[in-house]
Amino acid sequence: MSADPVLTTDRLVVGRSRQPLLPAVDVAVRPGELWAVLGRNGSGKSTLLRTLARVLRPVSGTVERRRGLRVSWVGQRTAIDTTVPARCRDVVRSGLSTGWRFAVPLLGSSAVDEALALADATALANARFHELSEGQKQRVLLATAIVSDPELLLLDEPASAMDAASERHLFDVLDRVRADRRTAVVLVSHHVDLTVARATHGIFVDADAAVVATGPIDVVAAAPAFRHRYALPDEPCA
Amino acid sequence: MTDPANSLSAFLELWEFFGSATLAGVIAGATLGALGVWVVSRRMVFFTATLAQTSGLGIVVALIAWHAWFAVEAAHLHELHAAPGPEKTVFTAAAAFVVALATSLVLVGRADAARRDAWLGWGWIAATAGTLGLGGLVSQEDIPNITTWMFSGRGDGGILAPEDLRHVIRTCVPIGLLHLWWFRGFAATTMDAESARVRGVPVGVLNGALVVSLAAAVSLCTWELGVLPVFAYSTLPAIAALRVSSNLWRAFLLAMAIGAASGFFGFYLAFRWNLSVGATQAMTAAAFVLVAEAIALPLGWWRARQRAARPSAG
Repeated sequence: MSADPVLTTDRLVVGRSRQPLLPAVDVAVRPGELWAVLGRNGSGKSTLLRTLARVLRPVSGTVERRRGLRVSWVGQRTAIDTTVPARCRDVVRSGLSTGWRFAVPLLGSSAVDEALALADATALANARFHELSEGQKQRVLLATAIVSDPELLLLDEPASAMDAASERHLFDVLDRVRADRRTAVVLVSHHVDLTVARATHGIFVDADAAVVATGPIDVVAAAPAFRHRYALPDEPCA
Repeated sequence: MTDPANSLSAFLELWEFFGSATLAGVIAGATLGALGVWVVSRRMVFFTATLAQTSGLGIVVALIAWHAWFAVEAAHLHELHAAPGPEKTVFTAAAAFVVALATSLVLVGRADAARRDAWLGWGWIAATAGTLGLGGLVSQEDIPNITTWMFSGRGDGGILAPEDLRHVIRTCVPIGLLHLWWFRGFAATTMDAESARVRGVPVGVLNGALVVSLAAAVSLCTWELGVLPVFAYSTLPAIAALRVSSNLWRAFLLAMAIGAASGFFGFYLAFRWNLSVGATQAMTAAAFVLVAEAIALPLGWWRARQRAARPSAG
């Protein structure tokens, strides 16, 4: 039985400067699902994710979230300025500030320790964030995203600087939060093979061909536009 | 050798005369020092200088308006003795100019940081040119007043009335408490405003609160203490604290302490060597930056060696 969606779009058209980039997108993301946004460079993946995150306004259509939904986000770039001194523990703790909770005294740091452990970043807890490698930073940012126990996790290329083992670990972590906390995940990725193997649903976007395909991942992976864009044989491998 | 008449104990014995101005410097230094952490870490160092400069334009415009309107009106009514003095008009206009610029910066800053920086540069140049240009229209007897209000504040010469100290306390203490209370919100938006916005943190409210509290603290403290110490307090303690602190909370507390120390010791050193108070407080804050640099450099080398010796964490 499927639960009520945490996020739905209705004829959502995304773009820049009020100019449509893609055809309308209709999705319903439910708890525990992992939606992969796939496409080539410049195809509109990040624009779509940023619109779902309400960082960008839709050109038309709507993005509806369940009332009071807890959302977390990891952007493509590390937005933390190098002039800001921060240990990894402080960066993760900043993720606990959701809504107006920053005005309430913070008790304990067990959630920070748990998130660091889940992201395999405990050893980095007291290291200075700016002194880490890009892959280590992405692990810390993943911990920052999950520390507030979000119901919807939006990740823009969260593994772009990770090695293959770290990327598999990332998907293991996402599997755990989906299973244990029923967190819904929408992520943008360029690593098609691994993402298709681990996602439950997909959104394939191609701005050049004005194509959007959405649905269960096996259906999206079988779509002719998807297979053509990635130069795959006509039928997906079994 | 130290002249006993200029010693710290002699300074404290004269607290009755210098206490208000010293405490005003300490409170303004602590508050602006702490707020400076957001100014410096958001790369808005020019912000407070522009606000202070804008208050100068407000002072000149208000003096011209006061003479053109209130003084003429009062003379016409043969009630010159009952006419309002220019000070309230001048302060109101200076504060209004600062708030107007700060508000426009909030609105522009929402679009992008580059536009905000360009707008800051425009504000500084327009305010400076306006002050100098319109300054020629101000009467000769007001020019010394303008110089005092802009660069020395009302505490010129080290004497400040208890009423002026109360103004500083009433403005700075609530602002300082608000920033302590909302520290986590300001920290979250300083670290990564986009992520904070997605998590539902009211980034616009926090940015507005930051700019309005800076505008209020800068305009009032400039009025009481002068441009130079205010610009120094709002940048130098934070620059020193951010250089040696491992996180924003420690930087916030350290900047507060450095600002307060600059206010106190700057005043004492000015008393001891008979120097200008505001300039000595600014130099004291600048000295803290040099001390922080002297600490940070070997600390950085030591950290790098520690990192190199540590096994990789992946």
